[in-house]
Amino acid sequence: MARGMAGWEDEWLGEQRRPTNGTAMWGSPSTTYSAGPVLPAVPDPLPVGATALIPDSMDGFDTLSAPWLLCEAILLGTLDLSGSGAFTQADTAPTRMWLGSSRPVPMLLAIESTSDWVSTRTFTISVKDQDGAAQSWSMPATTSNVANGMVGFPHPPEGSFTGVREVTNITMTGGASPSGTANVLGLIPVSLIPTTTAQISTSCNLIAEGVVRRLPAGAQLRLLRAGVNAGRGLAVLHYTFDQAAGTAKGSKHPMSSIAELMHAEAKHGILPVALNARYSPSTTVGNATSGLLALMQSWYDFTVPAMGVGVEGAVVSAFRGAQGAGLGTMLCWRPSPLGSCTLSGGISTFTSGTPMPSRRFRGQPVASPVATDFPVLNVTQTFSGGANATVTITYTNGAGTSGRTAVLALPNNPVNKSMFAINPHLQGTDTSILSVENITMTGQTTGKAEVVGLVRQADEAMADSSLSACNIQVTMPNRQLILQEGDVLAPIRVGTSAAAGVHICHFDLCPVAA
Amino acid sequence: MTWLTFDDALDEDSDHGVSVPWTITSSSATSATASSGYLTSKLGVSSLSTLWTTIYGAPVPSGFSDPDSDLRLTHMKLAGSRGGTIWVVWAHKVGTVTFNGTGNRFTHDACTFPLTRSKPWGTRVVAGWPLVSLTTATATTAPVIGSWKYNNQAGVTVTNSDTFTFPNATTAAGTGLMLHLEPGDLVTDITEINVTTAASAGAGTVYLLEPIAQVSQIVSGHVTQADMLRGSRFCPPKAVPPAPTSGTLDTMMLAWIVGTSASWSARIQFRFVKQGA
Repeated sequence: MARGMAGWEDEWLGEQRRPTNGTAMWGSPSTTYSAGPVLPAVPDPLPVGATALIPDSMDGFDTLSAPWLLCEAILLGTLDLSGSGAFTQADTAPTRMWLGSSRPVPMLLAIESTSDWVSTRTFTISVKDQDGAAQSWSMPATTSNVANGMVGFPHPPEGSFTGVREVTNITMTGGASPSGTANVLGLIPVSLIPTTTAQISTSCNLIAEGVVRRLPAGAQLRLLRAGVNAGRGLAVLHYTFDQAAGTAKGSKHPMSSIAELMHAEAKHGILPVALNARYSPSTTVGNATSGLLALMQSWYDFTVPAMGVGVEGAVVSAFRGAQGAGLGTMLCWRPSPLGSCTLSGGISTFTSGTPMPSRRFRGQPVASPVATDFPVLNVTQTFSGGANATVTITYTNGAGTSGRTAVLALPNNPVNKSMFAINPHLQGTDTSILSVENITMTGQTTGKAEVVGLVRQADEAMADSSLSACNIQVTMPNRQLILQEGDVLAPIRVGTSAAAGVHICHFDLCPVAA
Repeated sequence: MTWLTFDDALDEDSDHGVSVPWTITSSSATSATASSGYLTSKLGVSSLSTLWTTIYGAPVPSGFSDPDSDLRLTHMKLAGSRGGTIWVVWAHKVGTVTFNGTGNRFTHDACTFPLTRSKPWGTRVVAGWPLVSLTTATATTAPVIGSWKYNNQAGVTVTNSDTFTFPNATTAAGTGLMLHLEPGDLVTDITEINVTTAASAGAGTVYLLEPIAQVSQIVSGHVTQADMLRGSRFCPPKAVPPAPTSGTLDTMMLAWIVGTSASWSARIQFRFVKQGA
């Protein structure tokens, strides 16, 4: 592990000038990233005595208001868009130690134009997902004449996988005399880097803020900019070379200090996760009688993978997200629904669900039932007929008292995937729910909804309206759930019900030693 | 001793820490355009300077000129008259350029580049950002640089032929112009600046900028600060100049103000500590 400031630190400068405005690779809801300042690759071989490169901090400036995504980029293949089109495979996901087991790192799929494209193309993409399963889907047609240097994030079908190990093929159709070239990339996030208004830069202190990476020889770094317009960016990445020293020991308390976090990373490996948090279509906003919040759920929730030997579970150790003005993202543990209710012909039928599971929190000796601190009513079938459903939820509160009720009066005809916060409508001084014993719905004739016991793991501070498209570092919650294989993490968008395309969020899963 | 903890650094601060207050000034500049690289910038220099003929940098002790010392910038505080971004940089003078004639108008200083820094794994060449800081305003015509030649970080001599057009026929003295680079390039030396459209006047100093640290002022008049010790776990910036290949390097610690063309005045306080003293 790095031994202090012994001269092994250095910095890289990056610069990028984008002479003309670009275009999103796909249409509304659009994907709007482009290439940012260029950084060199990690030296290969590393200097004698060095075992890895640790990014320490980054300074940045951009003439535009646009956060950057600092990431490692693996070249999965190249595309020739001319004629019938051709995909040439390159690399696959690197195999690294994470969460106690050495295995391929799941990556976020991206396509980067490397020349000006002519016309449009429709891609059918075949991959092996994060579990190695074969997946294939077709994207909508690209926008016409995508400019050089654009970065698009192909979105698989809603509810499908969240990461790729390999791209096995990309075929293409459509267009009129199409041409152009592109890289197919797998991205492993390091950090979103906020750049605020056009005059003001920022420094992002990675290590000090709990973002720990040991990059191997030859690792390719990229800065991707959230935005496609012309401008100029400057970047300075400060780093230090790691040196072999002693035996990594792992950590039962990885979040108690930077040193413990680095021990955990060195022994069992952190898993960086980037999500293409896609929020579409638009949903129904909550009002004074139905949660007082606009909430949206992403197309993709993340399922915690298996832990390796010596790892009890994982905690979320860093979270960053990019959102528009006045919005935010909550990364929530999403257990199985607590219960659901179906309206058919005006008749309400309750189906019981699963009480909140038990988990161990960091610092506690044993597992205990986790009360949901952010329960929501999730619409799973659009409501119709009649008007303004009244939803009565009978529940057991966080203290174990049963027979409590929460009543929501919904907006008329809430559409599928709408979410309504239940907290403002809990009975008396209740703040949480352990289980749901009944749900009744009246007022409308058709519809379906379920109660989901979300448990916040991390959240992004709400951006000020003058700092549009900026991302803010998370403030970690006071307690951390030790997540297990199969646990689902959902990025919930707060503050709007309008559809949106790519909103990158990323987090680290840090191993807790058994 | 090598710093392993914050307390190690603080212990040496109490014995060897150096405080450097600095009052800086800069005149208003001409805003950049797309054809002049988008980046509006200018240098911040000592308020005792005569803009823009005689400029002074930060009043650092003479020991700062020793490239072999391990002097670190641990803290910086700024109060300025404008919102904007400030990079504290080593401004290494490469040469001078004039814009009242066509052809190669660049004159290299006697000092030989590239500049180097000694690292545990060997010698590292300094690769930075190129900046022309106008010492005399242009007049009559907006000059055009048709091409310029530089050596990049790989030691390759590169010719950039992206037309660089000054933002105004009367581009103000003090305006900082960052020349166009090939994608992925940084500069280690400059050999030519070819003017294809001349003005009736105009001259500048050509610098290689090597950033030391950065701080931003959100609101005019407020104090902003950067903790390079705790905020940068392993990398408090090293604040000593590099070594030239031969000759004497003309370099100063200056402020490079980006993102605003307005005149600027500011008070900066630095804290430097020598590691391993």
